Amino acid sequence: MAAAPEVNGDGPTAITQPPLRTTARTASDSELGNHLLETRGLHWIHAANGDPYAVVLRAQLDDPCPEYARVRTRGPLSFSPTGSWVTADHALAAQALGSPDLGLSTADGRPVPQQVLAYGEGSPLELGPDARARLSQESARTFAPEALERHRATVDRVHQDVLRTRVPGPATGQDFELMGDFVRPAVTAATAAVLGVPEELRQEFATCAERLRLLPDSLLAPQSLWKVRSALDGLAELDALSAALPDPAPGTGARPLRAQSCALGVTAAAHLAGNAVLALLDDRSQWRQVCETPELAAHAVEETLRHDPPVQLDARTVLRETELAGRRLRAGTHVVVLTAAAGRDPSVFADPDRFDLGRQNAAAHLALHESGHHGAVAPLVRLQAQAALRALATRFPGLRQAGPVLRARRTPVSRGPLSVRMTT
Amino acid sequence: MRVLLTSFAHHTHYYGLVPLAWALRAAGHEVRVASQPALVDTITASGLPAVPVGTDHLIHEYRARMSGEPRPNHPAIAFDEARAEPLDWEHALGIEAILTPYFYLLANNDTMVDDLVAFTRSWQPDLVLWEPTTFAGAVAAHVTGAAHARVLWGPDVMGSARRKFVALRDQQPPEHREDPTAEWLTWTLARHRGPAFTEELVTGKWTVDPTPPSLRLDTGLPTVGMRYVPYNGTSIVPDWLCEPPERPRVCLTLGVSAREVLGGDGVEQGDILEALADLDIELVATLDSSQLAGVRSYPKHTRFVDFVPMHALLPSCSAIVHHGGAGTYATAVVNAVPQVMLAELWDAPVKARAIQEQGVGFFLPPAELTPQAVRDAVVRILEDPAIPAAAQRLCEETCADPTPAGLVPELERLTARHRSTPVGVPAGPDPLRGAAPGIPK
Repeated sequence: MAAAPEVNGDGPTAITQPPLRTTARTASDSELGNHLLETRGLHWIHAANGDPYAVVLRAQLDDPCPEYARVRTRGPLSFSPTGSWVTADHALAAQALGSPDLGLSTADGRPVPQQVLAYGEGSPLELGPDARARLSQESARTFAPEALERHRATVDRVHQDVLRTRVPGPATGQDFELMGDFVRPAVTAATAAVLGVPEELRQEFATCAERLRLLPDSLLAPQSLWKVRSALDGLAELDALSAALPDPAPGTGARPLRAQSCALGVTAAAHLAGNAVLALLDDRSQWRQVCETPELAAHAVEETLRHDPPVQLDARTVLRETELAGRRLRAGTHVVVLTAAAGRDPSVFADPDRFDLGRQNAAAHLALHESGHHGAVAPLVRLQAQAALRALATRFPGLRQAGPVLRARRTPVSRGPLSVRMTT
Repeated sequence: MRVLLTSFAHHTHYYGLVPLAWALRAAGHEVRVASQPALVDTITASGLPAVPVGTDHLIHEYRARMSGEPRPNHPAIAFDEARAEPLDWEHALGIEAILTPYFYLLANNDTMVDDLVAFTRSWQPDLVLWEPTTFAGAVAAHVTGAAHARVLWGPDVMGSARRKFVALRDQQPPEHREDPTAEWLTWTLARHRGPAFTEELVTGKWTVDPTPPSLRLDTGLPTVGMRYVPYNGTSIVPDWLCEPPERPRVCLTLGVSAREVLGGDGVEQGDILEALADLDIELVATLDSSQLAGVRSYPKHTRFVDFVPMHALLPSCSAIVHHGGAGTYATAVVNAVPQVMLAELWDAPVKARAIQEQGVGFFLPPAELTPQAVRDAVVRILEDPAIPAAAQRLCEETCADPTPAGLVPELERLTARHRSTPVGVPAGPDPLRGAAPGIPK
């Protein structure tokens, strides 16, 4: 059995769960399962004691914004008894994300206790500094403006094809499920096409993306043992898939970029598209604007990234002692940037809770920040969401929500509809 | 038959099993009691053979290192019957999300579960009786095919909570469902290559309930009633108990467990003593001298005792003021003593509310607790004959249930029905074992 959670000296009243002694892969079911249950129980206790960030981590709400607002009232940087410093402040968030003193793991690459588990070798979320640098270079090359134009044509074609073949036309009067019938299959197929995954491996690619959809959440919010095991299977399959594909440029970041696109990009893109559609349909006049002017899709996507991003927060670890909001933070301190909350900072965005296609500074949001896990795949994520919006707006200007939005639980990081029915 | 009883190492949780274990033994059955090593002396002191299993649990170490969390009176783990708000999925799940890792999993540590399964495989009991949080007993029985049942020590708040949890869980979209207890028991059973999880792992194939029938919770589970027979540990009856009291005797006790384990009484005992000071009563207060420091006054006829067995004291009492502990409450019920319950923890508010509804005493929840309220409740009990009369009715009701000895034949029948291989008869040489040892069953 793991050691008892301990009170640590970082903040006034922290009770944190000691890290697993091994990676998730090598831990026994009992060891891993106990650890997951204890961590979830601890989040539940902190949430019940009134900590808003613990309520975010517990993730039992359809709408986390009221909790973000509670974090904001505690000042630019507040301590959560879960052991993390938390910010919802746009200026501080931008400073933290841009700071060379904060990284995605500790200076020696080991996860901090606030990270629920480590998958170890093969996890796209646990790259060393060198691999990360190669990944950035590869992303800049693969998604350079002229390359992106080529990809845009591919992605648009795939989205239109999937919509045409999987969703009955507007004349039939049949409804469909936005995410399962269109968005996820389209995004998955288009990602595979952009990456050059051959037809015969597309199914494996889709399975991997599906199994890994909870990867970012699982680092901060304990999932069930079976879901973690499924994610581990997904990582093994991703390795096998990667080995079966030709390596376009050995020694570069091409393989990690492919892995990230599958593991992180597909889900982020699907969620971004889903959130954009829901926001636009919520205010029909704005949906009509996109239908009339499909080029507005790019702007709609930026406003969605501000208003309801697919990745809600970015966790960082202090690499060397630094100062944030006038407070000295020593190496190893965990800092959580609520990028979704920063997008609603009223000191930067007027009427921040309103989704507004005409907002001039929408792009000042911090979602999919280049320094984060999703940074390398962000251009492809945007491209996909734009394509999904354009395809829907062109084919179904009469699109309407026909049922409630089902949202996941235990997903404080990723946000998007699991399913929602639409009429055309 | 062979009967294995098990409780995690906590003496008052174990005490509820003891009279039934004696009854089974006196009826000729083979009996063993398994727990973590820390309980071995308590088991042997109760006259029963102990089987130490695993290493000691770390419940107290966990709580100490977690600044006392989850505190036992945390509103997030309050049972539905003790709350004013309607039960929703979030609260039902929260109880399981907290209690599973921070109580059940700790009380049933892996080494304890593993040793219990190994012992059960080798000793082959026909029946496993388990204290209601000692799920290790259910796991061991499930893996080996023995019949198994829970033996409660109070109203079935856990069975009721589980039923409500399952109903709410099944109303959720499949994507939202979560069941920490089932997850834990599933991987635990898999470790022992046992059959898949069923709800019986949580609620037993049946339940032995010592609660008076009218105070029992409706759980929909197969339940047999058993008259509560007190066992409060080894005890010496003091001389003064042989004399009848000269004035109404009132017991004030905030519970052995509360003092030893919870590390705080939750109420200022001195203030209660002062509030009772002018009453013409004989007060028996279970306080030690350190708890008396600073107390200005108390009733003229007061006995301070560090420990007194409740089953010896309560027959001579006119009222008891207590914290709602299982043994104290049940011993008061079977002795027809009206109760004032300063109840806060676990099932205590549920019992206290029922006691008040039955007219057998008063429930003083923490929010309403004042020394004057305690005094008023004691005075009403002493002055209103309807209250002792109601206590007498409740006593008669619970005494109509079979004693542990009277329950043994029913347990034999239930074991035969629920065990997956034939069961032996108690008296004489066991045809399956006694006549020809070594015959595989």
